[in-house]
Amino acid sequence: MQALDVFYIRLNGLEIQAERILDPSLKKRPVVIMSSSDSRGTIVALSKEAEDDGIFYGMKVSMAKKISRCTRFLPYNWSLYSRVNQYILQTISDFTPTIEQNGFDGFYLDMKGVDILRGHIDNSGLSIFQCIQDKTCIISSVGISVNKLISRIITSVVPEKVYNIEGGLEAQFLAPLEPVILPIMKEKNVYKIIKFLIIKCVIDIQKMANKTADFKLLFNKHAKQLSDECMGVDMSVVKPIVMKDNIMYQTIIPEDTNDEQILHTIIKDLAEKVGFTLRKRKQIAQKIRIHIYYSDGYQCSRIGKLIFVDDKSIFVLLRILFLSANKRRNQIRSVLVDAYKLSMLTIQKKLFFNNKDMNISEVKDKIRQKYGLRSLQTLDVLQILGRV
Amino acid sequence: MYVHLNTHSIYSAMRGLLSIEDLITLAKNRAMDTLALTDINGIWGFIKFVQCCKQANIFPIAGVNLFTSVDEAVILVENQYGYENLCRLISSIHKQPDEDLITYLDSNTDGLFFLSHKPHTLYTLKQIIPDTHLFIELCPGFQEQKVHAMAKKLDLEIIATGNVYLRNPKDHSAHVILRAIDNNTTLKKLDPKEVITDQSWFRSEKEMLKLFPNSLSAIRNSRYLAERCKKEWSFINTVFPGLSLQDSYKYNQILKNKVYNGAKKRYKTLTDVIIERIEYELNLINQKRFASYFLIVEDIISQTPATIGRGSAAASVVSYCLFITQVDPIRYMLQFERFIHPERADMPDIDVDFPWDERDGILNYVFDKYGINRTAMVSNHVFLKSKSAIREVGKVYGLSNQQINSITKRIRWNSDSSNLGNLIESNFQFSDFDSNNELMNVVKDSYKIIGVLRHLSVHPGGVIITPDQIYKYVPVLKAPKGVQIVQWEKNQVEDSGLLKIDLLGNRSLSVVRDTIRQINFNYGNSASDSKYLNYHQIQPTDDEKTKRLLQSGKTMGIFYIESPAARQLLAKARLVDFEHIIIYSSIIRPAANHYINIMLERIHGKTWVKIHPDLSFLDESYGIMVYEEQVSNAAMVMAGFSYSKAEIFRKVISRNSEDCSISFWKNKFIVSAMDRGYDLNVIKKVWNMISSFVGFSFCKPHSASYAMLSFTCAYLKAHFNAEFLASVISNRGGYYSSYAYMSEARRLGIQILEPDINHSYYHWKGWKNKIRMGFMSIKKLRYKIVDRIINERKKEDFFSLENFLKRIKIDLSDAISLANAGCFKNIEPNMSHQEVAYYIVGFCVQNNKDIFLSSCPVNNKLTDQDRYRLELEIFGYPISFHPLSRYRPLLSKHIKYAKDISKFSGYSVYLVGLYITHKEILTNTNGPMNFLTLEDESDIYECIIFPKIFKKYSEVLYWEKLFIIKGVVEQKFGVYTIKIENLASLQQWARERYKTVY
Repeated sequence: MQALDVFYIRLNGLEIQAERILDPSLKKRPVVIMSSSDSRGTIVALSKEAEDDGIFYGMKVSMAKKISRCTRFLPYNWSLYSRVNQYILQTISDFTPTIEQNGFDGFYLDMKGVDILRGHIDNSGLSIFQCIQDKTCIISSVGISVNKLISRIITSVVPEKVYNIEGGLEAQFLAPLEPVILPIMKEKNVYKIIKFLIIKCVIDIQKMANKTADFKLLFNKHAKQLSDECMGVDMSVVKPIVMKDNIMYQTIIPEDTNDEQILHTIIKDLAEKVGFTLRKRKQIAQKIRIHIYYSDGYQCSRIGKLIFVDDKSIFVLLRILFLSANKRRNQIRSVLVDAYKLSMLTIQKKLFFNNKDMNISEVKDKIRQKYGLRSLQTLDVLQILGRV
Repeated sequence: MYVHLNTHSIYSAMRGLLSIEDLITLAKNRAMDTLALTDINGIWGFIKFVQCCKQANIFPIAGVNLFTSVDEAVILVENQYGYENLCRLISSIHKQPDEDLITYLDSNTDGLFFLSHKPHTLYTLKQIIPDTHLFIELCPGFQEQKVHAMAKKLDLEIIATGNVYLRNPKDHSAHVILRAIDNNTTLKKLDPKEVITDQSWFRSEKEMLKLFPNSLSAIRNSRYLAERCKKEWSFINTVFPGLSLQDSYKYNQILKNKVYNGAKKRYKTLTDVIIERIEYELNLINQKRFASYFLIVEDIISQTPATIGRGSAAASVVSYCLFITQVDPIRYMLQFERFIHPERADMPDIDVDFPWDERDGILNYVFDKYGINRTAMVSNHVFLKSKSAIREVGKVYGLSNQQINSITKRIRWNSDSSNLGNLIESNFQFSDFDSNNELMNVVKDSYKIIGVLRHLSVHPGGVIITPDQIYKYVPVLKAPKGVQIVQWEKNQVEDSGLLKIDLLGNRSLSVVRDTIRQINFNYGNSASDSKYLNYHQIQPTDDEKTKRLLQSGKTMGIFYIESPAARQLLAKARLVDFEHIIIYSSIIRPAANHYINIMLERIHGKTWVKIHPDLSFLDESYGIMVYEEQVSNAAMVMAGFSYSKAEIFRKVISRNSEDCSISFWKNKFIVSAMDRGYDLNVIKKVWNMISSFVGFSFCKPHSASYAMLSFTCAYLKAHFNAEFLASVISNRGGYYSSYAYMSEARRLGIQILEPDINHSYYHWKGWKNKIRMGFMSIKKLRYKIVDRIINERKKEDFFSLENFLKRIKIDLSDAISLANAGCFKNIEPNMSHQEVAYYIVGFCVQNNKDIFLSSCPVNNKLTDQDRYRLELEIFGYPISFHPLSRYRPLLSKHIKYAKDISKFSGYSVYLVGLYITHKEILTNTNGPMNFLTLEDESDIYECIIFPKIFKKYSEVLYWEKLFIIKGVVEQKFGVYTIKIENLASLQQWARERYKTVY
């Protein structure tokens, strides 16, 4: 018998739960999260109460607003959800070092050998559930089985907070479920055929899979994966998270604007922050990306390459990238700069040329290193960001 | 006295802010007697300018402010030849916009005066323009000294212009907004070179002197130049091919022969009355040299059998005999004078409708026959209105679409947008509007730019044909979709005297054509090629079965009288002879609701007295004004207008409701009628009736033409309902959705058959009491596959699924569509849907290699829910069930059926209903109310939602299709309607109560 050592933690409706933690008045009230506040935006997350009002995933925001007037419509708060996600990741890291992230709202945990420490696997599941709830107030569910596929499916179909499927019972567990729960159903051709055949339960796919030749003919290159998935076979392993090294700064503008001067100042501020961090780390970024978030939810970005790390050079590059990205007349809500593909900074001394810009940057760095990053700022930045 | 020789109106797209009326009022207020209109690169509003100038006793001068990539010049017209050159010049600029001015001028400089302030342009022009016709422009923003120095250097005279764009300096901010919109940028990013100086406003002579104190002669020169320009404009000369005497004689003879040949076909025997009428009309047509016009139209309509001439042309027996129109004007006493009158100087209009799917071919025929140099389409002028203005200004301010929508979605089509600020404060739609300074600034700025020309589009049917080069008469340009259009819109084209023919698409003509084709196919004797039914031989007006159908109000699908309002009117009136249908066709218009009720009372015997004994021409329509002729007659009788003056009066009234000249004519009518001794009360009553014609009205011949088509449709529906409704759906309906027409067919006892691989065609086909759905209703099924199936089927029917798959090369997606639509049910009656699907997939995934899989390992039957879902997915509407039938088991027995509402007259009932259509109108107190049409499994029914209830439930109407309602059954003239008291979404109700939703 195989050991039940793959856990899947599902943070049910993470977006809604996170919003409700921030604003308790949203509890028991219909709440939805929109992809964009534009009328063409769609619903990406919703509470049970909103579902009861007739709103569903993918519904147009304009339609949802007409259907339910008492529903609270919230914009997608990426930074909040990612912070909550990171916090939960830290929390569950206490249980195992091998954690694989699956979107914002899910984690695979490899719990091999943990039963020796914690006893029955259900106890481990309950401990994780409890720990997440205690530390973050987020309600989760835990699926336990011999592989990632079944563990994840458990959490999407079983209402219990912790549930496990014994090894060998995977096919039996999947049999009455709808085929859409299988990951392979995301393949357009497989979905089209299964839908056309009006297959309502996985058991029907299991029956078809028994006729190997016909099944292979029908699903061609996807036949093997579909056959495995419908029987609950998944050989993939839990892969630990690999962190990307980057420097990221974002400025959320106090009031949405398309004022050239304000945006110019914000970019200057961001350039100085990135420059200071790069010089401090003695690194240079092979790629630097500027990301503009508009008030209507639309985003656009441009990527460039840094050659020098003095403030002026970074600012000039960012300004060019910004102007080429900002082709719209709409107001901007925030600007993000992401410097990545970092490598060691090697500066060749110029004997016959005075590098004034670098020298000024280095002088400013000395002050900032002593008194902090925000110790030295120009008046326009202070004014715009509301600190005066 | 100073004359403004460089003024721009709203037709200087996205620059000028003054309407033509504004410009003339400003000139008038400053005691100016001459004015030039020089819009940028066009004479877009010139005809209107001339008309308005005439009314204000101002001399109009034609001109243009020419902008090229390098040059800028004001060009004014000296004489007629100059006007023609101006039109050519403007046309060539639009053809190749990036050239130097000199390349356009070529030999087109005669009869034109040139003014410029640009040295480069002046140096260029000096090479080809004599000094007598070339001047230096001194306009605001330029230093007098520099201009004087240049004049000395070039040895040219100076003319002072106002370069007018604005009413006053305050308007400058609105001009800046327009430039930002035009350049697709924000206010801060806008290049200052794009904006004119705030000095460019309309100045009086005194103010000009103050502006240019050292240039008195330049200011005086404006008068001297104005005197040399062409100021008398007359557009009454009709322009059409074949003007020579010899040609006229030839065309008259051809026309006469054709008319008498046609008369023999139409009337069989020609009585004296008919001959007399033909001769009278031909005589007048010959006198006015309109013969070639009739021949052109006759030539165009002969390209297709099912056409209908409409408008006043239907009053002509000549048109009837040429088969241009379909109503016998002698039998129905239509007055020819409405069409061509000895006093009428302007061009009579012949408008012809063609089947909608043949119209493009007809247009191509016209362009091919008369050539691109002589033919163009009429343009539509698209102006900024309240919603579009707010949208554009919002973008300039950088607002998101959501913020912009928060304002625009609350402005309805019938909202009074003349003052947007007031609208926001007073309209209930804005009660929960979260306004802030920025939004209110957007609204305020939007208000300033409403009415400015945004762009040109193509008129749906207006075609102009000229005797020689069209560029001589009016500038032309290419519309974005590649069609050549003139710079004037419909009204200006009509008033300019150009030959305009309206060739419009009409769905009902296609319906009639297709119905007749089906009938001939079903019942005709194909062996002898004899036709069962012919479009020109149908005599529907005396047919009893047709009249019974009209009396019942079951006119869905019937041209022009299928709307809920028309259906109710027919059922309430119950008088449905041809003459009455003509009246109904005319009276159903937005502003005449009040008169419809009065007429119904009079039809049902209520006594009424004439407004005045002189107005006896209203007797035929129960004392109510319903036709345009009655407006002209009233003007002639009461105000003493001549025929031509009354015609102008009628035209002004029936055109745009925003036309400023309406108030002018209103005063003139009232004052003249009072002078002639009519009582003010009588005048007021008549004026109220006249004002119901504003913006939308018909003449009697037009209504008669439409009534004939309505009768033809009604005849076909009464006798061949399956064929008729199948054609209505095949032509993608009219007022209602395909589903609503399908429901109507079911109510008439017609069985709807699913598509079938052996029996369906692309279109829907009717036969006796059955309609077979066409392949066209299967979503995602490609036309080429349908074509392949029909061609292959001609050899032999498909006898099995295997046979079909072997004969038709088909990919999986098309096969899925056919199978889900149930096309194989008849050839494989013993196979379940799942087995058919398994068979098809197995075959298609092997690239049609003729290898079939063994039997399907699973065999589940299709549930009702599965079928419903499939039908929605494939057709967009359910076929096997009524959408409400699935909710019926959940509903209380107190919820009634539509067929029973007559039993509950005066009582409050609960009903459920599927949305069919709705119409929103404004009450006298400006409150919006709604007429809602619903149906349940048993019948269709009409509901009224009064403002108080509508305010409460208006939102749900825009997203829900299934309703549960409570309302009082009301009866009027034997017709039942529901006055809604309560309205809710049926799906939400079911979800809340039973936690069930389908």
